[in-house]
Amino acid sequence: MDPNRVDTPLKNKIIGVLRDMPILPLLIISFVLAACFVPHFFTLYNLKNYLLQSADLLIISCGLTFVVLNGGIDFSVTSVMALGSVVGAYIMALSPLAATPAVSIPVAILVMMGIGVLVGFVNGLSVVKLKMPSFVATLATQLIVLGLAVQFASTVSGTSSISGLPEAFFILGGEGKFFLVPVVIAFSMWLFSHWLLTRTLFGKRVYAVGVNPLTSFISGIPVKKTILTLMVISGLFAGVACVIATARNQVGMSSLGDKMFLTTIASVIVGGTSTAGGFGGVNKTLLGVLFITLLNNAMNLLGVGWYIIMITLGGLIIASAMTSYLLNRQRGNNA
Amino acid sequence: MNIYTKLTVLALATGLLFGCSNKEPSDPNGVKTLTLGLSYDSLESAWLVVNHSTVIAEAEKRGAKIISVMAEGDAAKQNVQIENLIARQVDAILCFPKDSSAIVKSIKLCKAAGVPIVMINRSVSGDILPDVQVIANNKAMGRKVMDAFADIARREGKTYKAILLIGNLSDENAALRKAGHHEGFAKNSDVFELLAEVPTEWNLDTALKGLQNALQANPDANLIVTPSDYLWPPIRSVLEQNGRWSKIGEPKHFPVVSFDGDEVGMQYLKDGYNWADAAQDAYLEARLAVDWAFKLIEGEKPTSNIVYDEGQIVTVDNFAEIAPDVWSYSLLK
Amino acid sequence: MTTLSDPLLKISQVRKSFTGVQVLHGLNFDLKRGEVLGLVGENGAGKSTLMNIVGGVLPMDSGTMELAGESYLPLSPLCATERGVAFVHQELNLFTNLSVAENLFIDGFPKNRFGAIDRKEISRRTRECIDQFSLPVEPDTEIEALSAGIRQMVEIAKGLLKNARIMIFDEPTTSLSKREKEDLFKNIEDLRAKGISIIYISHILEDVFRVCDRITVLRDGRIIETKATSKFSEKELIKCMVGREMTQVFPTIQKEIGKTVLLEAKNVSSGSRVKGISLQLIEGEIVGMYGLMGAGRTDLAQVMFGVEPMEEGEIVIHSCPHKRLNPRMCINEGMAFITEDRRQEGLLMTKPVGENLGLVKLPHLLNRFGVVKSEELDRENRKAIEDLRIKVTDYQHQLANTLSGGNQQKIVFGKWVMNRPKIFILDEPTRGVDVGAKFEIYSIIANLAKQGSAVLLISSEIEELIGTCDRIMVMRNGRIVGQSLKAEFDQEKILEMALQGES
Repeated sequence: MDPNRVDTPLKNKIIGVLRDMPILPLLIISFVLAACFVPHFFTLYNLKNYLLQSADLLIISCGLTFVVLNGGIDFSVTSVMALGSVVGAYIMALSPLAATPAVSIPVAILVMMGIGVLVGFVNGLSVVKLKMPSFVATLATQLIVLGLAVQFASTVSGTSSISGLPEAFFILGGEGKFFLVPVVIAFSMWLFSHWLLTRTLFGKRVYAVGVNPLTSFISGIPVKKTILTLMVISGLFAGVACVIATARNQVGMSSLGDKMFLTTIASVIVGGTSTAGGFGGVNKTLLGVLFITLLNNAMNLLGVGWYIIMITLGGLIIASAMTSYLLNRQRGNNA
Repeated sequence: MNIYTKLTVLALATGLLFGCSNKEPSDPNGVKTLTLGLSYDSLESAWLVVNHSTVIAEAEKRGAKIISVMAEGDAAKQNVQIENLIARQVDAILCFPKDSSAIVKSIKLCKAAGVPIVMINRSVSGDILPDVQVIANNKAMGRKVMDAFADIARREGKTYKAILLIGNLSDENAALRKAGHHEGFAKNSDVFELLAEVPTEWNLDTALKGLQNALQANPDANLIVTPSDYLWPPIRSVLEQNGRWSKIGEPKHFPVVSFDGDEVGMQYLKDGYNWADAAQDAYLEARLAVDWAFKLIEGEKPTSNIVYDEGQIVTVDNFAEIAPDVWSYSLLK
Repeated sequence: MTTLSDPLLKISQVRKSFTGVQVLHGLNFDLKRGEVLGLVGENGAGKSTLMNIVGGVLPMDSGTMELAGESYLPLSPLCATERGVAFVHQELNLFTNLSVAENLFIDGFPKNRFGAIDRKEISRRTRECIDQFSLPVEPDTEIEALSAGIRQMVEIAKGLLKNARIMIFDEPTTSLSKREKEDLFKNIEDLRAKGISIIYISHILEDVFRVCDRITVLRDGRIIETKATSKFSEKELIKCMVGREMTQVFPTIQKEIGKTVLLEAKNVSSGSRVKGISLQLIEGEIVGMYGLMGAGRTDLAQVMFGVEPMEEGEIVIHSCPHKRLNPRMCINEGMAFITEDRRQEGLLMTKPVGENLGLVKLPHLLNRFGVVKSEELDRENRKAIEDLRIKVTDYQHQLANTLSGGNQQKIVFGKWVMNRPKIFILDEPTRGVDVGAKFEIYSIIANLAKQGSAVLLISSEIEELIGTCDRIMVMRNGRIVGQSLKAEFDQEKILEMALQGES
């Protein structure tokens, strides 16, 4: 405990938290409302589903948070999932290695993560060396990687999905009694990224560069290296999310992650990380993920249409951005 | 508040929430209202629209409640939606899958949860199968449409040299239709001679090029057989290029026999560009699916996993009687 | 009733302050019809501020302005233009991607009766203008393709099109060739003949003497003298610009200048702003660098710290020669750079004080796993706050942008000092800082030198340099044109070097 810190009364603490993370009370209220009024929400079966459904979204959103903290965006994360899914499935089901799951599964996992790292690296180089804005660079990689995924799938299997994956792999997707596995993996990745951002030198650099890259550069921070690293992190996390999603669906699909970008970026923004850079964090993204998954889960249970969910999501993004702007304005920021 | 007070509050809250979970609304007579979950890929094609609304109409006629969700082309989302339907404790699930392989995971979940699942129109193969699959009997229909056309040919004293289009062979339907067509050719060898096969991979551009080449290589061909009305655009394009896009009775007419019974094929059949179409019966498949859903809920087990929609074979001869029952009829001009 | 001999523009008691600092102290100023009035003064004397007020860019705090006998209070540059005041800025306000015609009519395109832009009319009027002013252009020539001199002519034409009665030129000759300069002077003559009044701001005294009828000298926000050009001598002019009593108090600290050369620049060049600079920074010595705007001092500092690339020459730091530098390398070699613009380059304004303070030292506060040792960081932060007397209540949460300018600058100092560097490059370290904090900063600088650091102090305030430095170098046009040692510090001489030193 810092001896200099003045002990604030509980009320001030709560106000502080509410100001910093306005999504938290929203999440709690929604959860309570859902538990009371949405049929079958607060059952063991559904709560288990709810956790599983948030697992891969949490991982990919944590990765994306790093990029958003830098004031950038990464469109390619969903394509990484697509390519990783089909390549990994190929390794486990159709390649010569498929005969020995004990080998094919670890190799596939490493390859899926490796694809994420590679794509992230390419993105990073484009931004840092070619000076492309991340919007343009990652849009390009998204299209290219997706094209590769679709082409790969149709070449090796004729359709867009590859099945016949080894049973053991499904454990990573929470099959049967292993239902906590993806949740534990997601939680660990979240914990790791939280630690990285709040405790390490790298994390502090991410925030500094996000606020003012010029000041950071003059103060000796290796700005280019930092940006490159965080793009790689985004790709890597997408790769891990790919492993879990593929295991959950039990097939490799070139359509994996296809419509997921909106929910991913929504989780980050609604959670409260500023798209201008330098403010926010994965603790906020966690809340965003939990909230968005809650929304989807509850609306499915109620039988509400897809379009209504999308409209609600869009409205929430605007509301959260406005709240963030108004709160920050009070503090005297120009974020 | 200290830590113990916090924990107590949390425990009380949890208990309260558990109590809040809603029970199923029940009929005052004591008979439970059944709920059916509908998980469709999308309502992109007219066939799906007709099928989907027929399912709902049938179910409501029998007093069941419907929860319908759309995956909009996302197979992973469909799995999540079915997961949520199970949590919703629906009594049975009717599904039009986006991806026949990816849906296996959901079938497993349904079985584990004891919820009957009925697949509509798209078939699933492998070890893990849904309780019932209502699919068009592609092979039989392929053969029957060739039989029907053969009858007409014999009556008119004509013989035909055919070019056969093939769909993407990893698609079960395409493979079965091809097999059915071949059976038809074999059985009616007095009328048909198969000159060439054109693989299309269900790709319009591939079909266009392949058909052009086939016609050029086989100038004496006088029949095109297509396994789907989806392929009409390239067929028309090639025939127009060769100056052969004309109606029956006109000198330049080039006979075509098709499959699916969608609004395009049926329109051409009505207008005289098409001789015969094997229609997948959207109404029947819907009724069969709902029917079996209810039976499965009662505990009845089907003898075979597959329940066939034998389809409707519509030709220029029987158009007036049979066409009105085909699902796309209301869309014809 | 105004007569022709009455002044065209009359300014009375104009006052202006920025964030509590008074910049203009009740100026009285007038401009006669058909005269060319030169406005001279050091950096920061208030020339730009005064002209911005006249041109409608800034509002004044109090005072009155009269234009041709009528009250003149422009709310915007557009208002000023409408009243006939045209401002030709140093950075020309032309759109390089548009054509001459489009630029001339950018703030008021003639429209046809459908409301759409009437291209024919524009073309016709532009032609008229081109002929009238003998511009060597076509209506659709793109500005980008024109030389600086011709661009300026277009800008002048633009002002005249609006029937300007007063034209203000701010440092008009900086981008012009000798030929173009002559053309400009000819144009000014023509304008004067037409009865248009001109205010001519420039550092180049020789030009001012040549072209102006009267000269007004501004110093520290006050008008010192206004006389006919013929009544001024150059020496007298310089004395007016700079001659002030040294009122500031500077800390006196005993220190010794060592012998070791900590940093030596050898013939360093970069772009057009830094040309063959050689200098030495010795331990314990405070070296001042004076120059007027555009002399290239900040550019030099940026090259020395690796923020901008060095094209020629080398920099020897602690006896290690370098041809390529970046800030990280410089920091590792024990250098510090306090930049000119603390808001954009020195601080993370929207982050807490504590985060800013630790920014440079952070890599040295890690444990084995790369985790930042927060107790140590806190300790360092508290020490810096104490040592530098930074006024902040909660350094962990209070944001940098809530502190006063002086305290903000101290945070920047604190950030660098924490890393215990031996070579300091300071660029305008007391800009926007109140008097009290200034004194504290001078003490900090003196103490750094006392402890053996070498300091390069770049400043536009001669008084500040005289009060703190051991020697002062003067830069002009990217070169070092002179040096003054402590014993012979003379304000006028230094300014003279900055204005006229051989380049």
